[in-house]
Amino acid sequence: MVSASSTAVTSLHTRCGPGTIALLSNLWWPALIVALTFLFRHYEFSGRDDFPGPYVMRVVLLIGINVILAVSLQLINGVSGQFSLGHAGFMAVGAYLAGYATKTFGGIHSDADAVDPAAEFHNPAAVLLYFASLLIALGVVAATGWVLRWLVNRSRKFHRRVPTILATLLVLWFVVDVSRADRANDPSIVHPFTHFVGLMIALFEWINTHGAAASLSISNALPAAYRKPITFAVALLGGGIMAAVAGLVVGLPSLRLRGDYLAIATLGFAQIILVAIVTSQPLGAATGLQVPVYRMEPDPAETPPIVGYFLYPWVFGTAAITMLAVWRIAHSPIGRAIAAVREDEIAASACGINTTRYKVLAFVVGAFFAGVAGALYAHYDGYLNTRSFDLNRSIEIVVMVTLGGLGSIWGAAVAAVVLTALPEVLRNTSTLMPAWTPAFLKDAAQWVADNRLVVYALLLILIMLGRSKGLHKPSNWLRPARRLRSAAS
Amino acid sequence: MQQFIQQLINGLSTGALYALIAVGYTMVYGVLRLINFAHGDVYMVGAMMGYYVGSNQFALGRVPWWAQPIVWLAAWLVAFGILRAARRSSPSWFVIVGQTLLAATVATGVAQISTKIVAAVGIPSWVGFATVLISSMTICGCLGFVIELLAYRPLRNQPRITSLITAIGVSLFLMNGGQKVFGVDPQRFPDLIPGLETNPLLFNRWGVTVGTADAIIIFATIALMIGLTYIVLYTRTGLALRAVSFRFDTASLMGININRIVSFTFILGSVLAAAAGVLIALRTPRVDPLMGLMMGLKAFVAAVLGGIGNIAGAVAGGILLGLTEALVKGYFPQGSQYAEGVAFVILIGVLLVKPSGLLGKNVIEKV
Repeated sequence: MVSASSTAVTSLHTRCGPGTIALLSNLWWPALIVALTFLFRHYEFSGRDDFPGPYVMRVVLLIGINVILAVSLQLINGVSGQFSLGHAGFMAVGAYLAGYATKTFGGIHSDADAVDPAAEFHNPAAVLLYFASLLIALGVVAATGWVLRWLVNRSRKFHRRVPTILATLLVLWFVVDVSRADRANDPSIVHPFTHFVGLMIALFEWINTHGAAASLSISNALPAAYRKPITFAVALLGGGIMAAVAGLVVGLPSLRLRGDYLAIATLGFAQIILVAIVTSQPLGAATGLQVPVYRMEPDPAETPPIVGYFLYPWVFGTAAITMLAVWRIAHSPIGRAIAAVREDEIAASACGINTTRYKVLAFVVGAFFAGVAGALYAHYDGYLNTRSFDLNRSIEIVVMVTLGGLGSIWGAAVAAVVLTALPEVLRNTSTLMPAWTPAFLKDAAQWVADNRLVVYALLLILIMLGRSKGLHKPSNWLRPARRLRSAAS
Repeated sequence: MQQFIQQLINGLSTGALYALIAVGYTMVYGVLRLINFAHGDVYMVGAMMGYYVGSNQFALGRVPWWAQPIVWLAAWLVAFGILRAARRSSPSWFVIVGQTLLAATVATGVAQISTKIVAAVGIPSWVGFATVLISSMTICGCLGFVIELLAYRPLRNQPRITSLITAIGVSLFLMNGGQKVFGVDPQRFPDLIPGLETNPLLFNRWGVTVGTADAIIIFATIALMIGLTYIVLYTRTGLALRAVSFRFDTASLMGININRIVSFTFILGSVLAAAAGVLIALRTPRVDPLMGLMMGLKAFVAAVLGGIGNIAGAVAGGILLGLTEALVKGYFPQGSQYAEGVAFVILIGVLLVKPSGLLGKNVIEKV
């Protein structure tokens, strides 16, 4: 990194840092969102029970979730110049793990299997314990793998074969384990001390069963009013962290690749994640997973409604935080390193930038926010199915990023808003358009709404052909995109 | 042991289909360094065209049958006229319009004629099968040509990521447009091979069975591969193709018409994908607009496995992938669910251990 010089001209910058000044001058947009969220909820919801209506409410929430997804993908695809086609996979990781956590551990069980709806989201400590035990089990796996890798790297000529054989044996062991656990249709049947996977599952379950009483007492010690939002926050963060771990696992090997190979590798990983979910019984397999829904609208009994007890501020707060975080990363020294890697990887590495590190960093942060968005989506929809996280979803997010302009955070956010809202608007032309609108216009709008994906595809092709820099600047609308590079290399 | 051999045979026929599609990926990548995402959907269109020609469902407009050749000839003449005019003073859009029109007329004409032939001959019959196969291949050749012309050619000097996004867009367009045009529901592919219904097994002894469809698939693949090898190795166009894939700019300095060669590559790949589409319908006679997605991705994995840019590698990778999937399906409980992910595990493994693939060369990146 270039250290800031101490001339008189830049003294202001050196004193509080260029990032701070730029932050203050650019903070107004996220601040506006936050302010809108926290001001208008009072006017919108108090006394007007049906103003937004459940349908509009759902669309608005979906817009917020899509903004998070698009902006976090912008960090990967636009800012760092990689090309990820697996964003929905990370979203699935966050959604399923957070949903499973709140479903299984978040409620307080009054009897054997039924959870009192009023007692949902009442056990933050158990949810935390769940994610902690998951991380511990994963950490043991990672440590084993790391030790093996170290052995392989350390081995010289004579002993070269031994660690490789060991690694092969471990992989074989793993495969046999999975197949046995699968055949038994219950992972816990696998004897814990002879099988690696069984061992990890046993560790995971041991922590959870032995910590259950302690976590319940911790949760009970919390003031009742805070339990629900805290549980939700823990689930969101946990889902995000697990997605970030998945992003690390995906990113470390595949970010050594470039451009198109990376796209395929991420796509492949997303498919693997989906296959893993579909074959996993606890996660609902192919039938899907029912998840407790976080209250979507504020409680009419409370005026003004308590923030944190309904989804709206969560979604838009996360969206604001995502935009802020991505913006901060993009305009920090790290962001300049990432930009250098984007512009020319070889030149960047010649300048001493650890290219893989910065690429992985961008990837992990992007995956984290995708995971949080997934967790929000899980508690918004209440039903998880792998079909919500397939390739089409990933491509939809890519379309948002591309339409908004690669590298433009606001472009991605606006494109997410437009592309989520437009089909809904067009679908409801009869109520939204004035009565004197000619019928063919209404039909056309309906056609566009019905053929949303075809229109997306055409838009994608046309934008790439004519305006490959995106539509985020009005000046791009009229002038054709400049040809940047002379030859494809 | 019998089960093992049985799985190998099943895997071989799947692998042959992967190989047919993977060759298209690998050739396009070799020439343009572009992952042609739309290739799997060209395969889908191939299967769909086979279905439409085979079951006599081509009703293009309300033109009576005797007038159709006249309309077709007129369209062709117009297209040729445009191209002749374009040769003198050529704004590029003029050429593009002419060539697109030409491809469209060829495709519709072939579709019409072959539908009539199939209706006259009647299916199942070998002549009908050959007609369906060849017409589907021709139509998809035209489709591949048009895709390259309209979507990829204008972007050839742009960064590679731009063409990649365009390719995704084309794939999305074909997939969702296909859902609108062909309908969402799977269609039953008509029987093309005589006697396939009554006698589905060619060989049934020692506990091992070989399906007639599998045998046809394998032999057709071998024949197509021999044809491809001949074209690539022993013709002037093939020589030019190899030159272009070796060094793009230098080849153009040597007087090779790059546009023609790239178009030819796309046509060749699309023709093979269409053949795969018709051939797979012999074994599993269900065609739907989403069939190209997974098949295309797996074929791409096969191409990467064999070393992308290398035709022999694509064939080897396809067969290897088919065998692996069959073995996983056979030997794992819930194997058919895992088999969907196996291709991608292989992909990740290859990219980790040897990104250049089994038969690929390591290319050192130079500034």
